[in-house]
Order: sequence, then structure tokens, then C-alpha cells
Amino acid sequence: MTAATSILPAGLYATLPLWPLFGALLVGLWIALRVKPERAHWPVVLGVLVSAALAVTLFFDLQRQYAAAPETHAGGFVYSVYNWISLGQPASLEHNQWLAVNFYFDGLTGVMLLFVTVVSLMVVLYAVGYMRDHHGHPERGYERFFAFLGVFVFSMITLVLAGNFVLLYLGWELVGLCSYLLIGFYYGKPAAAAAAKKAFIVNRIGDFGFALGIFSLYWFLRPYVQPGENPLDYAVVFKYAQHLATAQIGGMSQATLVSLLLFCGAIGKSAQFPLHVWLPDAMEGPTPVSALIHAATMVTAGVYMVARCTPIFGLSPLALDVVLAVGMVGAVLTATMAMAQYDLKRILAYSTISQLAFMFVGLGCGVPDSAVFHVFTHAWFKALLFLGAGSVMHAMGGIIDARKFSGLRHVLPQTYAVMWVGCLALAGFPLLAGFWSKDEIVHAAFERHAAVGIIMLATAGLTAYYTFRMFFLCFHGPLRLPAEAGEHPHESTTMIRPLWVLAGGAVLAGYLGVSFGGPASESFLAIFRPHGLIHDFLHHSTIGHPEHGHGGLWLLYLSAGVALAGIALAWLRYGAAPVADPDARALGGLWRLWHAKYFVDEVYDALFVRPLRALGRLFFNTDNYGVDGVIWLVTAVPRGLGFALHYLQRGALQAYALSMVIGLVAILVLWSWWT
Amino acid sequence: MLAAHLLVGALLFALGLVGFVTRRNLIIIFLCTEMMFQGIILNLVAFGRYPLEGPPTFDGQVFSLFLIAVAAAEAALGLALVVLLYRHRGTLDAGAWTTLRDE
Repeated sequence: MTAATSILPAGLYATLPLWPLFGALLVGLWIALRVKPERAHWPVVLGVLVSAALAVTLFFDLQRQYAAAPETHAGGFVYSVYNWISLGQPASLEHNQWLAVNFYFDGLTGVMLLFVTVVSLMVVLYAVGYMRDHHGHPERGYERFFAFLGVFVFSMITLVLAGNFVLLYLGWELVGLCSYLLIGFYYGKPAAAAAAKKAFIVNRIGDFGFALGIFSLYWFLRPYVQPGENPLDYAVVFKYAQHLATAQIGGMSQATLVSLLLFCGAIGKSAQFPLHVWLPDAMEGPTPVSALIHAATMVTAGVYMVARCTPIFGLSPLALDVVLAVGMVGAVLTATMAMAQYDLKRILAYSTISQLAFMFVGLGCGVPDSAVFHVFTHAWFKALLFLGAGSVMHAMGGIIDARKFSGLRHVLPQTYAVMWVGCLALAGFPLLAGFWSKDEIVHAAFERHAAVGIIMLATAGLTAYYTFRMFFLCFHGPLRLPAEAGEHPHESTTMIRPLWVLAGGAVLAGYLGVSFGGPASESFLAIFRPHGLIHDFLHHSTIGHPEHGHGGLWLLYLSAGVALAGIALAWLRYGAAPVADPDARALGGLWRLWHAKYFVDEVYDALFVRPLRALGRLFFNTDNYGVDGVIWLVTAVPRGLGFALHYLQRGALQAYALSMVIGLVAILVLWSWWT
Repeated sequence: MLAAHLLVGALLFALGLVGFVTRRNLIIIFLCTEMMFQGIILNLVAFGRYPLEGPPTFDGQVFSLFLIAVAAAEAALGLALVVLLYRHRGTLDAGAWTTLRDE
């Protein structure tokens, strides 16, 4: 992109992350000055609004560039803010190697920023209504909540914009920190504090691998990097990535090692099996946080990172197979777990893991553009679903268990309407956002191997089924309300408005990824041809131009049929919102296994948590009784002496005088005997 | 002659000491301390009159006058304290005052 044709100067785009941070700092000042919290959301709302406006402009700007030069599949441009850390002692300064703070603008960042900022804006607006009680008074910690949200948006944009691996890692850890702070927002609640710790610790495991991946990348590529090139910049790394494919280490290629280590980070951040256990517990945080961080944006960072590193992962078929296998196992496991839950937010959390697993399947099948397309569509409808669940929770006085209410369509008509849209989009109902992106991934899976395709198609059917099981249990059947809901449960207008915007996204986002103009005469769906604007856009990035055709009509109809079958089955079994769960009776032991989440938490508890805790107790006791015991013995000597002698201090004047006389006589006798 | 003087001084001191340790009455105890004082003063006077070497001086007697003055001041203070203690407990028994012991 050249300066002449860009709408705004590149330096202005580089301020994208800063606006929400300014907002958060202002809110901090707000707290320090003890101003009333009523309007504490404004700085963050405005900050995110400016960022969203910049991101949308950037998207159109890049789109114009790419439309002008459709054949060049080169990446974007780099905006260097400043040189951060020097990596060498060169002869002259211009040949120095730096860790720079630089931002990388290309098709991938354009797409990511578009939904990250707009969904963030919707969630922040929603939170203005959500974080208040029924009288409209802000709840305790209102300012703190918005300050954290501002810092999160800043961190997420930094993560997406980062132009080198260290800055990526910085953003990666910052979003992790914000996630920790916001899961533990209700820190007075033991479950929330425990969930925050769990999220942080489980992420540490993945991030350890991620850090090792970055270290090894630096180590392996150092011999090739020329003076004056920054060794961890994306552009430099991907330029020399070819060398990793041939060099061997420990029986595998360096590319495989680096990819697998980087993928560890993705598993942790995107909550993939076997590190998925933190995400369902993270639902202890306020619902806007679940929608923004644990559904739409932060958890997709793993997918983003793997897509960004396509030039490395692409060199290692083994690493791609691992990505595919982890995705497949996770998709099936968590979809089945979601079938047997009652907590609305937990169902959605398992669904999120399952959908992220779909994206990893896409990445593993070598179609990162389809995976990112699914990230893009998923953000809209999953944020919508979470916020809809939050609306239910708000109206029900904090109750989120689907067994405790039903028939809510009578009291929450608008929430009911937007939830219809969100559920249909998640289920892959034809023509809605989820349909287009999921279909592409299923097609790539079929191209990889028929078995993979069938498994993914079956998982898509399960998705439709559990989504509508949840939906019917909540909104259909006779009206039942928990006592906590009060006399007149209602929905808040402040909260509903952003939901309609997201619902619009859930309907329309898919059309950015398809093109039109097929032969309408064949059938209706033939009008749409896969691979639209988003794909062209993504090809102008480090993803490059992956080879894939499209599944054609049979797959579109097949996946539409599977989705409709899932919805129909859910209607038959749960349409009347029965109090006794029909699946629990029909599936028996299998259902209980799903309900218990395959006992993964229990297995981890037995394998890791308890041995570690026992080890900790051993160390504690060694310190407490061993080390402290020795010190206690040392202090016991003067204490014992003092105890023995304290009987002599009787306070009797004449007894003291007598002992003085005796002592004096003794000294005199001794002295005379001595001399 | 020195030995006789010293013997009387030592006797006075020893009697005062025994009285101090054994008697219970605060005023008697106080008088006993005065008696020990007199024994010591007698020693000073004796050594002034019969020095171990050289001619006799008045040093011992001057010293004694100072000591008697100090003892008088101390007696006034001490008796005042005894009166105060008596007002608190209504007894002159030294055993009634053991508040400084270690509990």
C-alpha cells in the first residue's frame, strides 16, 4: 500500500490499540478522583468506538488496494513505531538487529480487527446495561469492569497488529491477564476466584510451549538472518522459513518442532483438548466477558496465530496432522459434552470449544482462509448467543440453569427473536453466517479424507441438536420462572440494541465470504459460489493462496440437511421443554458420561492436582517442621533458661538482700582463697 | 587501736545487715540501713585518725560529715516513702510489697 492511495495515513492506523487504553486510563483517573461511577463507561465506549471506526476504514482501505492489484498475493505493510531492544553489537547502527515495536497490516489483520473492534464495541455497549441492577444503579466495581475491558481491547488489538513474535507474545499474555482479571471480577465468590486461577495456570502450560517455540525459532533462524534484519519480525521469519523444512533436529524437521511448540500455545489459548478445561469454568465471569473474551475474540487468538504462521506450519505435514487430530478429537468431545449440560453459558462454552476445534480442523486441512472465515462469522453469532444468555440471566435474577425456567418467549420477546437468529447461525441453517464458513471446513475435511469429513458433518449435526435443545428448553414450553426472577421479569433496552446489531452480523457476515453469480437455473443454492471478499482479502497476507476447490452443491445440500435434521430432532424431543430430560433417560450411561464431561477434570485432579498438592504439602511440612523446628530448638535454649530463672524473681525485698549478702560473702571467700 | 575501731565498725555493719535481712517492719529495716551507715562512717573516721602511713589527717572526718548530711536527706526521703506505703496498705510489713515479681 502506498501513501498516495490510502484513505488515512499509516501512522493513524498505528494508533488503533491506543484509544481503548486511553479510555481505560481515564477510567482509572475516574476511580482515583472518586467521581460517581454512573458514567464511567464513557471513556471506554468512546475509545473502542474510535478504534472500530479506524478498523472499518482500514478494512475498506486495504480492500481498495487489493482490488486494484488482485494478482499480487504479497502481504501488507509494516509500520515501525520504535526500536525496542537491541539484539546485537553491530559495526554501524543501520546494521543493528532489533526487537522492534512494529505493526503488521495485511488482509489477515484487516479481517481480525474488523470483528474484534466492532464486536468489542457492541459488548461494551451491552455491558452498560448489564452491569446494573434492576433500578439502573451500577453494581459494585462498575468502573473497574470498564477499565479492564478497555485494557483487554488494547491488548487484543496489539496481539492482532503485532509485527513480530515477541510483540505477539506480549499481546498474548496481556489478553491472558485481562481474562484472569475479568473471570475473577466477582473475586468475593470462591468459584470465580478458583476459575480465574485455573484459567491462568492452564494457559501457562500452553504458553510455556509457545515461548519455547519462539526461542527455537530465533535459535534456528539466527544463522540465516542478515545484518539489518530483525530476526523475529514476521517478514524476516517467513522469508527464511524454507530453511526449517530441511534442517533436522531430534528426528524431525525444525519446522515440525517449531510448529508443534507454537501449537501448544494455541491449544492453551483456544482451549483445545486436552487443555480445554479452563474455558467452561471461565463462565464464572460476567456474561459480557464470556461473550467478548471467551467466545468472540481472545480464544480465537490461537487460530489467528496458527493462520499467521501458515508459512511455518505449511512446511510440516506432521504438525498439520497433529492440528487436525487435536481439532477433530476436541470437536467431537466437546460437542457431546454440550449435549448433556443445563447451564446455558456452559453449553455455549462447550460449543465455543467445539467451533474453535472446527477452525483447527480447517487449519489442519490446509485451508487457513476458511478457518479465519469461520473465526469471523463465529464471532458475531457466538457473541450474540452469549449476550442473549446474559439477557436471560439478567431477567431471571442471576439464574442460568435451563431446568429452572421455560417458556421465556412470553416475557423476553426480543431476546427470543435474536436468539432464534443466533441459534440458527450456530446450527448452520442455510443462508446464515455459520452455514457458509462451516461448509467450507467440512468440505476441506472431505477433501482430506472421507472419514474426517463424515466426523465433522456428524459434529455439525450434533451442534444443531444441542443448540436447539438449549433454545427450546429456555424459550418454549409452558412459562415457568424461578423465584429469583421477581414478579415482572423484563429485558433492558440498553442491552437489546447491541444484540440486534450482532444479529445483523450473524445473518450477513457470511456473505463477505461468498460470491454470487452462479447458474440460478440449476437450483437456488447454486447462485452462491464459495470464496468471496474475505478470502481474496486473506490471500493478501502471510496465509498466501491455499489450494482448495469447493464442495459444490451436493455438500451445501447435505450440510443444510444435516443442520435441519438436528433442529427437527431437537424440536421433536425438546419442543415442549419437558421437565424430565428425554435424552438422560434414553442414553443412560453415555449421557451421564457426557454430563460429567468425560471425567476429564476428575482425571486431571487425580493425575496432576493431587500429586502436586501432596508435593506442596511435603515441602510445606519440611519447612514448617524441619527448618522451623531447628530454629525453634535454638530459640528454646534462652527461653528455657529464662523460664527456669523466673522463679527467683519473687519481688521480695529482703530475699534479694539476702541473696546479695550470700553472693558477696561467696565472692569474698573465693577472693581470699584465690589470693 | 585501729583494729578496735574497725571491729566496732564491722560489728555495727553486721548487726545492721542481719536486721535488714531478718526484720519485717519497714521502719526497723530502715533503721538497720542507718546502722550499716554508721559502721562505715566509723571505718572512715578510724582510717583518718590512724592512717596506714604518714601523719593523721582530717579527711576521714570531712568525708563522714558529708555522709551524715546525705544520710539525713535520705532518711527524710525514706521515711516519707514508708509513710506513703503505709497509707496504701495499712501495714508496715515488707512482705506486703512484692508487686515487682515475675508473674
